[in-house]
Amino acid sequence: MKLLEVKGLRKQFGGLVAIDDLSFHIEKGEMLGMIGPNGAGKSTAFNLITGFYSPTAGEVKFKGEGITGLNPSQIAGRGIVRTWQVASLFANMSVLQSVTIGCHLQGRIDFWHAIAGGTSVRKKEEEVRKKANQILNLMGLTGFKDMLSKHLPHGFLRRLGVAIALGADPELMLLDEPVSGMNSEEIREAMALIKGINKEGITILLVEHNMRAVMSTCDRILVLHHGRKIAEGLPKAIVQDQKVIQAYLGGAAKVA
Amino acid sequence: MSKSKLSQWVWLFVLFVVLLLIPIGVSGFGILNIINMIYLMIIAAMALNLIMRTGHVNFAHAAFLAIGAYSSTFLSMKVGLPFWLCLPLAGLTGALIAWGLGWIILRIKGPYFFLVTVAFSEVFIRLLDWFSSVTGGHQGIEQIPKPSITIPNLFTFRFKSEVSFYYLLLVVMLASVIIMYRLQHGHWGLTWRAVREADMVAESAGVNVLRYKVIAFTTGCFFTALSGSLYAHYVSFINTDTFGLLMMFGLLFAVVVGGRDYFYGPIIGIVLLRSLSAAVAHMAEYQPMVYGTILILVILFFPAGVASLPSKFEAMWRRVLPIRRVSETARG
Repeated sequence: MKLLEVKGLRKQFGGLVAIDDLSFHIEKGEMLGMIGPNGAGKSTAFNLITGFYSPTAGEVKFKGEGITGLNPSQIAGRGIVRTWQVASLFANMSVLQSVTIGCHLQGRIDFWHAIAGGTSVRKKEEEVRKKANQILNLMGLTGFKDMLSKHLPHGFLRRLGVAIALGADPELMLLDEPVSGMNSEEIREAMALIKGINKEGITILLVEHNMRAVMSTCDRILVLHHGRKIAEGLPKAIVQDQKVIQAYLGGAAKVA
Repeated sequence: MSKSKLSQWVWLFVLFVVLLLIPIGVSGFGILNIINMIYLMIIAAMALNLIMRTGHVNFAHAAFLAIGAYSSTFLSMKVGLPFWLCLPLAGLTGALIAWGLGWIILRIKGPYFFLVTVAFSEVFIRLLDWFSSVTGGHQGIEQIPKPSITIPNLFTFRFKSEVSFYYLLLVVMLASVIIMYRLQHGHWGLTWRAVREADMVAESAGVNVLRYKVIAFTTGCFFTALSGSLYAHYVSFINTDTFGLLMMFGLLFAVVVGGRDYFYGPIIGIVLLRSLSAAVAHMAEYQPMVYGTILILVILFFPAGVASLPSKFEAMWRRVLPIRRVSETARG
């Protein structure tokens, strides 16, 4: 079953075409890697799928329904949640509070109820606290619960990003370079964690620079270059693809 | 109920009794008038801080005081409604305008939002001058009726004295503070903070950021307009200068000096500001100078505001403590 389907997606910023006629799909339960050199359009593709940009042309379908033109928060409500690069988390909030915000969709309290208070509000707050604690436990963050997120060590900050995303009970999770800046031991751990999330039934779209991380864990790989898809397939096939090698070596193959 | 929670309630009760007894303790010297103005301004300053929780500095806040004051005056004097209807309707007028305006201007962030609200408040004050046939312009409107309670054929009680107004303001102020407290200490407060910290991350977690901002703005402006209405009926006189730059700076000053990250910060700020202005009342021309100096000193030495001082002293104390212990062991 196709969980996400992208058809003829195009995004133009003034004269610059960031994404050009991009089509691909993600199967339910799959882990798809998206790679490409800097400026290939990976982030733009992310922002188009999650609603932060609206496409110039083309459409995005989730579970058979068009989601192009929806707000990011509405798209999160449908079950697509993304993570962010380090610097942009809730710096002055504690780790537990951050994950509580991640549980927003479940923990929303009506304005008038919030003023009136009462047992239903307390019950909901208790539910959310329980859920947030479970997620922290799963991500190995329980020990940092009350720490401000700006004081978290680098590797754990990435985990917090994933923990926040898990709060929304996503069906599809988009990971934005989850292992950049980590050493090989940390990368191995983080990828195992991500693979574990995937095994729980959450479909994953992963953008990453680290080739080894992508190659060893993803089911399929999609390669972007200058906003176009130049290859798609199994990891084994991708590493041997002539176009991909050329894109990554910047035409050096020709010189040689 | 836990012991610490019980003692908290006891303290709150004691505070409440003290507040009830204030008019008996202080009489004359216009002190009660100062306290009444403090209560009025606490509502507006806390409302401003509530909006600032989302990361937006609303420079049109004084304009919303004016909206409350003028709409309440209009409803009371031209339509002839009793004060008890004018007060909530004035609040709703402010909320309605904030709601409509918010969906447009809250898409704008940071300094640009600030500039847009500066423009709005300037235009608004000019409009009040322009329609001076209704608003009284510079001459203002006098003899705005005081609230009264009437039981037909029995008696009429008019809130004429400072003391009677004290209790009215106390009730409205406490109710407003309690409602804002409940909102800020729970789901809404946390979400507003998240919106200020990283709106995109919040949005991707399913928070409808614009909606949360608009509701903060609307709630804040509701309470501000309420405060404006109370002002009009308490002072009985308003003109277009009442809600100008000086009022706006006063509110902003109170929030910043008091401590914008603390719920009780604006209360401290307003109490400081109003007591100070009463103390230097005999040399009114130097007031802005005094305010400016204090503002600079506060921003330089404790940018988180006066409310941050206790925790600051505690941190200092902790730093001093180990040194002393070391010197003691050295002596021993």
